[in-house]
Amino acid sequence: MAAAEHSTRVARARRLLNEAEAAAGLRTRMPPRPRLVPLPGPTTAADVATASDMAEENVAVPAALAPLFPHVGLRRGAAVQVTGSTSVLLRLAEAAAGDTGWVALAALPDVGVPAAAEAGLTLSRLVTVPSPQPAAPAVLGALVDGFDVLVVGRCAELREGERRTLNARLRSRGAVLLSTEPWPGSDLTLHAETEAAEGLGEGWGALRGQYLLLRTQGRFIGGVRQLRTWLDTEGLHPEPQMVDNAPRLQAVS
Amino acid sequence: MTSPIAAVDEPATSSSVRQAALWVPDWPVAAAVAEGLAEVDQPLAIHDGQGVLLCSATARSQGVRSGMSRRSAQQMCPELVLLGVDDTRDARSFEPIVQAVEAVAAGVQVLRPGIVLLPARGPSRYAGSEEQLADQLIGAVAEESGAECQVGIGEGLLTVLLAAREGSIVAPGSAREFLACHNVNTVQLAAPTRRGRAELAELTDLLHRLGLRTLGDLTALPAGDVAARFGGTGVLAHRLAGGGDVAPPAQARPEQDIIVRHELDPPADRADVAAFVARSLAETLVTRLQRRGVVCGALCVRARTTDGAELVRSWRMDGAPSPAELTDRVRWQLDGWLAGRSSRPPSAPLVHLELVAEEVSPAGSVGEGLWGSRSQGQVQAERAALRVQSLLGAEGVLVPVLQGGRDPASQTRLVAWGDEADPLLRPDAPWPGQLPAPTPATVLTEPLPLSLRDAEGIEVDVSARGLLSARPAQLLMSPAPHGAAQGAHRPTLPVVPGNYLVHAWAGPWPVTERWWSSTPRRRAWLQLLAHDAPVLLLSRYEGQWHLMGVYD
Repeated sequence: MAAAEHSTRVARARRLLNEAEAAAGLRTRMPPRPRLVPLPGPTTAADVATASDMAEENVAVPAALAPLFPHVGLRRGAAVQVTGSTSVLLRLAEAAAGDTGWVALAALPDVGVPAAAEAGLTLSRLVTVPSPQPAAPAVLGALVDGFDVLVVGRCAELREGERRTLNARLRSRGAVLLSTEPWPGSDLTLHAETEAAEGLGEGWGALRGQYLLLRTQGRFIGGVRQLRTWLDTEGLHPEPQMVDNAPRLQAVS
Repeated sequence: MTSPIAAVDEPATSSSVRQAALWVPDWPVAAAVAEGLAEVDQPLAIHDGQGVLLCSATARSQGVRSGMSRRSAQQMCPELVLLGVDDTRDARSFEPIVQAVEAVAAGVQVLRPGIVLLPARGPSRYAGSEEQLADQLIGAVAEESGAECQVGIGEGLLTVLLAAREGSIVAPGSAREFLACHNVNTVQLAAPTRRGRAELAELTDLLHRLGLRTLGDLTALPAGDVAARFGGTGVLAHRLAGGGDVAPPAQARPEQDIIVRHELDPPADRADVAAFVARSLAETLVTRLQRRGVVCGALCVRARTTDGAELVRSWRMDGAPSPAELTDRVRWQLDGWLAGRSSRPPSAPLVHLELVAEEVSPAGSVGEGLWGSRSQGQVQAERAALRVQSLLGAEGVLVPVLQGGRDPASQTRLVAWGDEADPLLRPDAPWPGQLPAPTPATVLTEPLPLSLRDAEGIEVDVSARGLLSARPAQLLMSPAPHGAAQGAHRPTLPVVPGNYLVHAWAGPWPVTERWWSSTPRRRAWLQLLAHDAPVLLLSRYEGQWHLMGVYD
């Protein structure tokens, strides 16, 4: 009898103490968390992997260019070589940065600022380092650490080993690197070619836009993917005739 | 005779309020040395354009005296450093000393740079005794700035000033006796401004000629007679000589910047050595900011090298910085300076390091931004940008700003990271004659001269009416001249130099800008589509076609 009364009193005291602690914010009793959280939706392992990839591991690419990329996006920590078109480069950077990302342009003194704004990049989140030359490895290292998207131009003095070190930092930081020059260990190579320009006459008109032929090649893509797009002030628009996984390069005109 | 002044001057007896004065001898000289205008051991004199006002002990030992003409001073001592009077300089370097005194006692007033007045009663009771207060004051100033100073305590303005000259404490009630034996010239000391001093000098000169040699002689005269004979200045002198108090006009403190400095001995030639000093400086600065309850908006790092070069750089700060943040900034800065990377020539070892907290404001008034704290991304990006600036110099990291203009190059403004990113020209103005969208994705920082020819190979010109002289047929682009834009570091162009067949073109669009000014700009723009090349943007000026941009 006495023992039972004692235990209820102890229990009541504990409860009151807990309540007081919780009210004062000293301690919060969390309900035990399940160790495995079931993922809604996909059921197969591959689906789960893709879904989580899409959620966390991937960065966006312009919608019109999606068919050129694996996983419907770009892996975080990836390096991509983009040649032939600065507009495509800027639009990739814009998509990768999203609404909050910061973009750094290194060794690209000739990129047009109005064009960058036209591509949708927020200039208040854009920084340019026109010539990182005397200390390129340190400068690029610092930029990788602080920026979400790093666009690199021609850095002649950057050695291969230093580029690989940067790759490792990219991966651990989850940033994206776009390079206009060959980059070792890059996931993808995107090459753009101007096929035709619209709007120019013989002394009349003005440029309206141009047709680009884009080709990607690299990891997670069998062979070469290519795509014709229309580029104007509005952005990139897909052309209907798309050749997926073309085994060989084809002349498309 | 009862003049109104005499009536006002009724309590001509000495005041009973205990005061202390802290005097740094030859302050303008010490200030010039503190600012690095001369070495400590160099003979130095301050002149006002007519003659020497003050000189350092070294100069004095070589025969330079105040009142000497500049020429004769230089004759006495050929290696003499002569500096003009600069009140701002004196006031600026005096601030740390005022702050040091404030750490010991409250209610500090600056009579003029070099002399600080403070009430002695409260602080001396706190310190234990007046001697101990004097000790503490001298110690605080010496620790803070390395300047030697003297403290005098007594009653009445002139009493404490003269006591400070002797470094003595005048016993309560004995101010009159203490003053009586002093030369009447000493009245000038109490003048806060140079003009007041000149007036008093004129008066004392007259008193001397009248045979009134000491302050005692002056006080022996009735106050009313002095007022009648010598006017307001005379009353002032009489009152000062009697140990009276004249409320010294409180000088506006020139700036509230908080300064900490350190002399590096031996000079630091490695960044880590200097950073070690920077660490302790940063800690001192932060403690002082906290003690005063303020935050700073900018941090200025000043360093001086052995060859006398001064390196200054300001960093924007947000709110209250931590010592680690401050140290980081200083270290990056020093890294850049000592390695000679910051676009300045490689510099010598550092001898002097100074941190200044600028734009000081009360801590409570700085709040978070409207949308809360800055985002993580911004913090990281700022850190990275500052790091790169420390490697390449401030101009190494640029922020683009879009401004008004008719062509892509003039629509672009690049400002150094951390500077005010505002457009210089209104982007919302109409800008008639602006090039149509889309804009070229590549805009050449250095336009590349090229040649545009017709089918016969004759250069195509733009007439005064803005028309092409012939149909362009071929484009000749020669490789960029060597030496331009750092040779190998020149970024690759999206078009390879060579000869191109012209397919189509649009324009020319003549644009005449600023024709009313002395720097008019007259150009014609042309969009050009050539075989096997992206669309190019050309411009003709100075009788030459230039490649301005590429629509790639």
